[in-house]
Amino acid sequence: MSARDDILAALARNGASSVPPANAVSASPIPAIATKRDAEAFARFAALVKESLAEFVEAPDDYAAMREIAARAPKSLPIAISPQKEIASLDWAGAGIEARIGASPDLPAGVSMADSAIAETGSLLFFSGANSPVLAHFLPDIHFALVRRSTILPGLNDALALARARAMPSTVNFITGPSRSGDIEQTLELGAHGPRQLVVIVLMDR
Amino acid sequence: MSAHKNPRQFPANTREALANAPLQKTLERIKLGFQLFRMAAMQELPELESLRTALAAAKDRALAHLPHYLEQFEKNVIANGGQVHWARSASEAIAIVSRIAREAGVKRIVKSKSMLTEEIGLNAPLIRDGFEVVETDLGEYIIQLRDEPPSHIIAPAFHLSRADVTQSFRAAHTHLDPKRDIDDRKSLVREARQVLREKFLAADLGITGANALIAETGTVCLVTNEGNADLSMTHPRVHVAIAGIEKILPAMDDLALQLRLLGRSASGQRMTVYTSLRSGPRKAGDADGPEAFHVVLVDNGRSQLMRAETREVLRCIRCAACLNHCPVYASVGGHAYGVTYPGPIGAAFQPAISGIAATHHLPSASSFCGRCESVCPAKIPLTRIMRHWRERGFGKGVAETPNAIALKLFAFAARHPRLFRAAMKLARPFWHLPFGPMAKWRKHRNAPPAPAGSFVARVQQRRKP
Ligand code: SF4
Repeated sequence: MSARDDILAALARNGASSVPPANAVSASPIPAIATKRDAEAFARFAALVKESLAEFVEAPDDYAAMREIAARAPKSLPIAISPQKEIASLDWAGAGIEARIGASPDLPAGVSMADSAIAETGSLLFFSGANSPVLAHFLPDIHFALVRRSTILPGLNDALALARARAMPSTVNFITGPSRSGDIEQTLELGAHGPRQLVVIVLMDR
Repeated sequence: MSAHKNPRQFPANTREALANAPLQKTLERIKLGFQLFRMAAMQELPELESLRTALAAAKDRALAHLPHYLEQFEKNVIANGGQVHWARSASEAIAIVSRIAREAGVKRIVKSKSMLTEEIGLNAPLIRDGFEVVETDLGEYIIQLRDEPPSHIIAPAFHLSRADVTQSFRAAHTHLDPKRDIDDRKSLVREARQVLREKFLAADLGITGANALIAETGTVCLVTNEGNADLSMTHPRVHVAIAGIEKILPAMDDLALQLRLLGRSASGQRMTVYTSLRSGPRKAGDADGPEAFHVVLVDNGRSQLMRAETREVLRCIRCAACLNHCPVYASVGGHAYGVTYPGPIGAAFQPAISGIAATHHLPSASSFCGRCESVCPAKIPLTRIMRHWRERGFGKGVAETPNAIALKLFAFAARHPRLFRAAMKLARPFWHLPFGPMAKWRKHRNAPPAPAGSFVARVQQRRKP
């Protein structure tokens, strides 16, 4: 017998069933913190982003966002811009930024655009794709993450449903604050492997 | 003093741990860290009890229909372009990973933290087969340099001090300036980041564990705070996720439930910094991601735990709350147990993997205070399962400790009332003797003073009209 057959048979011998349960939906309770909408959702998201040790910035439009980035990025170095259409097509030079399109292990600052955000947890949500390299969110030292206010979702269930609606991209990333490790003496240090600094810039569209 | 201990020597290991002053100081951090963080994180969740009940129910449903969900998961991984492998044992799992690496022409492997790969001992055989294998979770990296096992399931280097880490980095990173200053945590983290970044970028294969397998989509979920799982599973051209068969969740809503409880129970975080879902290798046109994706499903004793008496232990989501709230773990630390999974979850789970003969001390290493199960997000009846293993230990005659012998003598005497009464009379003067077997027993226990007259004598006294 193959290992597969053996394992399945051993499970069946010990009482597990190889047919699905009669009623397939489990009633999973949704806690109150995962049901906030509109202004309440935005307020919770903003508070939790700050709690996650990320910086929270509101920008009325793309140009304001680019100015915020220019003010914080290391000077005289290009910035890696994720090839996502919405941000790759912006007038970076006009904002005084030398843009290098694509994820880069050599540049300290990088920009990418989140597909959504989650009020329940203060997380950003990124889907991988043709123009959306996963590494854009992990390689930089300073990660500037743009997100549209209108895309903020109440909770985790909504975010996972959105991923399913997009046919499960090969990678889905929930990011909640800058990278950290508590492995030395249980004391938090930022910037273990991913970004040391995360700047969340909310585009205040309505 | 080696960190690799034998579970058969648990009593001796604990004495050594209790006498280890630096370790005792480290262990104090459990109360001030993990316990307080968890408590604070649960404040905003008045629904905690119903969520725990729901997680237990979701896991129970997954387990009751595990063959179905495993097959559904496999079908969906394949539909996503990935491959699924099945391993009955540790050695089969190791052989599968080694074969995948060989066939893909891999030389360098980076690994993200995974307790399952500790359980099956994956690294040593892969290194013997000629692969470079580098742990990338900071804690795991440190203990890999020191050739030590993890001492905590979510904080593997819990037992070490900063000075230990400085010393290990100096010994290992000989290519760096020997006069550099790495005495503070910041520079240690920076140095690890720099050394390991090069390893990520050079690796051909990334190995991760799995926090959950979602059947309805064929998805593997991984959580870290450092981002090492993401670099391991995105940059190398092959990603192998290795998972116990009990990690299955039927649906995405079950994952939402597990995530709500996992971070809070573990480290008091609402959400770990990085939560990532892998559904297949890179799709045509994707900007990055691995070209090949494999899942290795490992049994290694789990199918035996499916029996009714122990099934609940397979609900475990490895949050470590039970360790963090265990007075025994807090007194002796992880290494004294001498097994992969220390603390209450180890006492309930490890006998199935390592056999009760080798591990019979572990289910006895409990005050049965029940704090573990009161914090367990999956409501696993840990003390009941420990009792099950205790009974198995006694039944198999492997636990021939003084306790076992004393219990047998008691059982015999209890069935023979005359003998019992005579023995009680004889024993009374010995109860408080400063030497002999009772004195030894009293060393770590409070013995109340013996009342005047035996129980039987007092009952008889009261019955008199
Ligand atoms: S037994 Fe419960 S508390 Fe312990 S690690 Fe598993 S899920 Fe967490």
